[in-house]
Amino acid sequence: MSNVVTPAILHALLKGAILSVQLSVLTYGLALLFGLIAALMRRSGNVVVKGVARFYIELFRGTPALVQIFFAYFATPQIFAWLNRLVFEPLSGGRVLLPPHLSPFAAAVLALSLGYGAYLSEVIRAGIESIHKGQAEAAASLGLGGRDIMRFVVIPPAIRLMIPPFGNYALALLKDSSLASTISVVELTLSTERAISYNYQPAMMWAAAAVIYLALSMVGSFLFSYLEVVADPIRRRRGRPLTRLEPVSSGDGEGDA
Amino acid sequence: MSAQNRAAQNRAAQNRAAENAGAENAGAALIALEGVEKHFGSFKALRGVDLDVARGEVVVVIGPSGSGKSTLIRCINGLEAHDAGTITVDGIRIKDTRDLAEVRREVGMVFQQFNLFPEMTVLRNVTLAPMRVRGASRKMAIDIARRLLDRVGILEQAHKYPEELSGGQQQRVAIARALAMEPKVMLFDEPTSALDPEMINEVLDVMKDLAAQGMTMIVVTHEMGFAREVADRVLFMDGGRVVETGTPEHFFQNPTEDRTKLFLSKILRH
Repeated sequence: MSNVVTPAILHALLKGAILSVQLSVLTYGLALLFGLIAALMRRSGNVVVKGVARFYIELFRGTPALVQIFFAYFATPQIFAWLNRLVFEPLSGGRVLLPPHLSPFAAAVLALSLGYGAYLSEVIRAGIESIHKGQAEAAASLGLGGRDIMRFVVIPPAIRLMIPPFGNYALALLKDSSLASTISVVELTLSTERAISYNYQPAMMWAAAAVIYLALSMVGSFLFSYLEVVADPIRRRRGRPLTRLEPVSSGDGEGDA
Repeated sequence: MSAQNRAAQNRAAQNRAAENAGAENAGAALIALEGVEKHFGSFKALRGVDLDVARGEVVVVIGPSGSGKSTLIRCINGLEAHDAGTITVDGIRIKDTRDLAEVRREVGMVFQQFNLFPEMTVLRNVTLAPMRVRGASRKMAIDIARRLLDRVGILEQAHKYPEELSGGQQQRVAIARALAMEPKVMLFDEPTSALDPEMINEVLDVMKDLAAQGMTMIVVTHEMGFAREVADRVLFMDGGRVVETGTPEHFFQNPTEDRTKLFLSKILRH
């Protein structure tokens, strides 16, 4: 048994798991940013801006994540070389601006974040559009401007609606991060494969990898359940007595915390 | 053009003249509509409505569904953009968005579905607009909110969230929220139509109280009792036009138009 589960193998799995989490968290953050931008662009009145957003969403929803990752890793060197030669060198007086290639990690982050950004933009758009028009009308009739209406009246309840689908995509992304193994990012899947080539225990090692993914998913799942509670003002307050009006300032502050 | 429309226009002209002369007497029209039209695609929701509302006047608008009553009051604070005619509120003519913001500060609105902000406590619902739009300090806004919530009988619920309140309580909060902007006019769009019967009166009582204190109000409602008791003038609309207008006595006892009689016979039968 001693050569089956060595400290080196445990260490490799741990490092792989950490890299999977890093890759997923960074990718998800960027995906939220891309999704937000695309959702705002889709709500724009400008046809071109709207069209660009639609094109982006359709392109990335309609192609496999694996193809996107291969494109980001294997196709970019060629494209970067063209761009350097045809655009950047002439414009910058002979300097080469783009690197010869992306690192495997960068390529995986780029491809997955653009892909998940496309999905998340639809979640964001659906959330915003599902807020009853009457809320915005009531705010407008009180004299609030468009920005205040978004900030105070539309966004907070919309975010509450977005949290469950956000959670779904976060878990899906954690699992899709394993695709990065195909371009030699040594995350959990690839480190498992490599460990098996040392100890020849595929059953045990793949089961271990599955358990680690499951554990990470459950952490994510709990996190999003917690966010749901935090975002719901009434559930957030549960268990605490209703603040009376008398200590108005402290009571209100507590509600906002 | 009917004699009625001409009469309305004459009144409007007189009122404008009075306002130009700088007179702020109680008879001056606070709201003046002239030939207002509104289309939704090919559907004509308003076909040339003239209406003057004086300061302190309570106008109740009744009529069958689809007659344009809601559209009429939604045009007054610009929630719907009118397609023709002019709308003037307290001397400000609604033309573009800058006028709209100014008008909306002066015009409170209460909706059928309450439209409270669900993520905010009752208190925050009422303080938001004074703080963001009028630039009131937090303390000032809370003082105003407490006074108004007390007035509508809901002060002890100030730290609850809207969904924890009954429909009648929510609508009273909505009234307090609109009043917090200290509007010159209050518009009510079927404020009791979404309420359980036993909650209707608590809302109507608040509205009666408001009317008694001299608030200028335009109320779209099916509550004929309220119209009889509180209205200075009743307006009957059908097919996007004002068919008949008069005091509640005239209106309920000797309506002149056939369509008014038909409508009244349908709703007053039971």
